[in-house]
Amino acid sequence: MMKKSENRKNFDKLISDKKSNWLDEALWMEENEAWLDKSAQIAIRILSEIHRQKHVNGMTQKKLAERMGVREQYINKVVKGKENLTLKTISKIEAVLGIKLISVEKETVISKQIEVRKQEEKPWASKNQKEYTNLSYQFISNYQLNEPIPNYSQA
Amino acid sequence: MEIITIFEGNLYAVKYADEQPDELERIFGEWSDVQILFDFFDEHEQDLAYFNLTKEIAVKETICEAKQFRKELLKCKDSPEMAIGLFEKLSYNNAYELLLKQKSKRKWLRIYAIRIEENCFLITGGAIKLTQTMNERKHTNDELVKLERVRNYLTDNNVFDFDSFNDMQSEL
Repeated sequence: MMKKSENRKNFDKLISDKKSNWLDEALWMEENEAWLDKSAQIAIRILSEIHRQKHVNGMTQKKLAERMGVREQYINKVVKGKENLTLKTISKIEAVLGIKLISVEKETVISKQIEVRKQEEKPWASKNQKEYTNLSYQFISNYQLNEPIPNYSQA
Repeated sequence: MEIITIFEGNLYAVKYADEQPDELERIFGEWSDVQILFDFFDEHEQDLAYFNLTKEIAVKETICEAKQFRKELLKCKDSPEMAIGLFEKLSYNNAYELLLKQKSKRKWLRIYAIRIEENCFLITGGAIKLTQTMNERKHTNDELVKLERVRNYLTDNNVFDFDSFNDMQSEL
């Protein structure tokens, strides 16, 4: 009669020395979850659009690559949804497919910046200081949102 | 066929061929790959009609479910015996499946395993299960074939699954 311990020993003999990559991969995905989520959403949108346009103008991943001036293999990677895309690449895809992939909530960002500055503004600030602050609000709204906003109050 | 350690002593996964990753790595790789998921749901569009879902939503839900799965398994990283509690016995075949237990939402990801000991499971594969039974679709039926293949491999090497082993003991 076979014992439980023998059964386990026989199993242990079958275990390989090779390591699973699952844990490392899982930890990496946890660390990078925020941008991976966005990358996946973008990939879904691209595939959906290619699928739709295929019946209209014959769009394929190969054609998208050609029109963007990149290799098809790169688009294959992008549509896996695990690529850390640059704004330049996103803009190129948007231009070729004629769709919007990302947008920045301009008003919200600006409002938040203004709110922060208003809180910093002291009630006893001089007239000149207030005028200066108003100028800086204007500057923020004209400034590119993906560039750092200079803080002149420290200047 | 090789057996690869996930959590030493408690959780293992089968690696079917040299050039392939082990099954746990493979299924999580596929469940986070938008292209693979998009093609899969394109092929199984008739099953999605039952859920009243588009391919796009199905891909998003799968990625989200896989993420929850990953988090559940990662919780077991420092106390691997916790992983055992995630498995449920299937009603046939002495096999087990790991599925998320929140009842409120639709869950279709499955990880299949054979129980070696009370505290030890061997993962044989996994699938997106869109139908009531596994033999209704080729990809889930393939998982049943894999379960049987692994069981035969183990038996050939004098290893019996937990339930068969207990059955054998009680018959003697």
